[in-house]
Amino acid sequence: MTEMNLKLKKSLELIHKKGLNGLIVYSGGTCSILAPSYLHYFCGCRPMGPRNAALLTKTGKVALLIQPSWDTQRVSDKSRIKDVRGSANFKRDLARLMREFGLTGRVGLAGSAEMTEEVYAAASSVADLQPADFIIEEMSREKAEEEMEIVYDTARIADIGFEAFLEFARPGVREYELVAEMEFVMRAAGADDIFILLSSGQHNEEMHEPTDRRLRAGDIIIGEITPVREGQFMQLCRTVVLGEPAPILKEKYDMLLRAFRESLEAIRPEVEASVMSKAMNRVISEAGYAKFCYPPYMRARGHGFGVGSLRPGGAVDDETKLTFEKQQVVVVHPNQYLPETGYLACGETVLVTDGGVERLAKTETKLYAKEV
Amino acid sequence: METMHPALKNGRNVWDRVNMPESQFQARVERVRAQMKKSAIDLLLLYGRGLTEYADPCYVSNFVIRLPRGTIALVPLDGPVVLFFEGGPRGLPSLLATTCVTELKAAGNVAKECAKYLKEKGLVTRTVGLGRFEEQMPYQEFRALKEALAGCKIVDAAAMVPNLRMLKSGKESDEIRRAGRIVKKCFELVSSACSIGMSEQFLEATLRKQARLEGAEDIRVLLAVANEKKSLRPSENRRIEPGQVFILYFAIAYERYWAEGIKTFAAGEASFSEVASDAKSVYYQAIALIKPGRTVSQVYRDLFDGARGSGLEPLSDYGLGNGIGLSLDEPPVISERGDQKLKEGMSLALRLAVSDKTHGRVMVGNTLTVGKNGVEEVT
Repeated sequence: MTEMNLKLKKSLELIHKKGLNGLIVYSGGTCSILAPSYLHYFCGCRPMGPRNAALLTKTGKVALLIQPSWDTQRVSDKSRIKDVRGSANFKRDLARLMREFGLTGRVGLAGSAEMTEEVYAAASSVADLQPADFIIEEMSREKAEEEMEIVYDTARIADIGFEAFLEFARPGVREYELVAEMEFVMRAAGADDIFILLSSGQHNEEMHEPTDRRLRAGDIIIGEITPVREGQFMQLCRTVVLGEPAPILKEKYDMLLRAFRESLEAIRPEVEASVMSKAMNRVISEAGYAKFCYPPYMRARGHGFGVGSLRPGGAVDDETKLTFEKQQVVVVHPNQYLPETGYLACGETVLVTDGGVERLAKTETKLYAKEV
Repeated sequence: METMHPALKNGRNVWDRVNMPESQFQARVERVRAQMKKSAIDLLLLYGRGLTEYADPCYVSNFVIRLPRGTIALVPLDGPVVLFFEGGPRGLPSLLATTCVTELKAAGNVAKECAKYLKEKGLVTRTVGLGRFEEQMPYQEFRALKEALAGCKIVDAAAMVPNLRMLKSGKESDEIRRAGRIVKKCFELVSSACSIGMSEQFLEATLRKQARLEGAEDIRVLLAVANEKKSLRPSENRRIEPGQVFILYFAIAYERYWAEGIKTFAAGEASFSEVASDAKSVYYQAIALIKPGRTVSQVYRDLFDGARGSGLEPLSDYGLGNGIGLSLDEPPVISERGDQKLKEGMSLALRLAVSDKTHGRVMVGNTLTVGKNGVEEVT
């Protein structure tokens, strides 16, 4: 059975189980590290325009309505859905297509968080829309071989990005020049999008887009190196010091590494994702930094990565009730603000396996010191 | 032009107060307020979403959100502009460094936070103008906001700020020129690049690096092979073969302002060269006619009829152009029937796509600023 047929089969089962007449999977065309890209996942193609929807009837008839119209051929070639229709008037065409497909009555809507008022008004004039994100989340629990290949390949690209980070981080280089070098190597290696936040200085407060600041000897440079391929995010959180790290920095980073290791040990299928966050917060709290484990200093301790951010979700923290499952891709990062050292980056993306986790990166999570 | 939305802008993110002084934003807010008074609006809410549609809140603040999420700019008739952005408070120090607004509020839900603020400050006034909320804001948030504004008279103010944005100040035109220079440099790089064995993705990576090193905040790239059915698309991991003709769309934002250019190249045995096509002469004849007072439909006809007159079949898939500035696609739209007159200070992204017997398809496009006596080509 082809991958589309498998996905259709699974979604049809869920549609029937919930008594729905069909499903709409919607996308506003954005690609977010903290939110799922349900439509991209469902049809296997990243949409370009601001309004896009896949429509699936309970009998298995499926079509994709996209913007801009001129992108139809690309989407048709790349997508698992072959009936692709361009639209110059999305609201009107969505309502028409829903009627053509008999999508009236109770119809599931996945990706509602991206649907704007004007599109929702048009769609809800035809059908009684029901929340259905769970259908795509459920489908994404089993990864096809093709998806796993993308996971490993994106991990390879992340390592290449980190090697460039280490190579080009040197005094005199501006933050944005460093990012330019990292982006270049990762795109040349096959990334189709990039997400890099960083910061440099003696005491970093947060990570941000690159500025004009020139790196100096003694700087602590922190970065989230995140290539994207076919919607799959992969993140390495790294800290590089230009020069010999101060003893206090080594000591605090060792503490974060301990937190990282303990949180990895806590991860296994069927346990609540909060265990990962709690394990790391316990180590950091025992070191005397309990208040720095929570907002406004810290937020999430990890994210589930897939096409965008899938289960266990865009923010894994002490309250996350969802459980880890085999084949989930999860970034685990005890990135931490500490009063003595400033903000430090530490962590990487792992694959949940039967026995725990499999590291996806080849480069090590540690404090890197670069001779200057 | 529609392009892929990135996960993050990734490039140099600074507010250069020499290039764009605070006084520019104060003057803009005053212009917005004058329009509000004309429309009897007591309070204006402007919505922007993501890394493409940020222009309206940015116009009064220089603020661009980090992730593809929402921002509300609240403009009262008196008092400071307030910004609500979807995100955590940890990012505030760097975000505050790139906006002139001091009242910057992190929110899990911008609609709820904005509604709460309006209530607390007694700002739920008689007439509220909404800028692009129905078009951009997720419906759940929109409905929550509308409920909070129950009792107010709601006025559609979607066109108010885009109309003001059409006319650029000298400082804004200079930013567009800076962006244009980077686009130009990158096109020059294509001509000097070695074509042997280069893939589309590698070409894109090379151009992006050049643009980033020049200070590009955001970059959008599309490519099409001239004799293939597919339209402009993201680059793929495929070799550019000698003899292949391809169209390259390249747009960059510099300190929030965009410029775009489109050129058609042929891959030779060792290098790329821009193809010679009648489309280019038609294009330049048409832009030579542009001056203040000419309507958008006249520009449309100059391009369209000019192409036909030269035996070329114009293709209207991508439109012939639009305004460009804080957004890649803003008013005025170059359309067949529009009566909008061009004015000094406007910036246009003007493009021509034709079906060409020799190459298949050819495209040419530039960013232009409209001056007193004609246009200046900035890319």
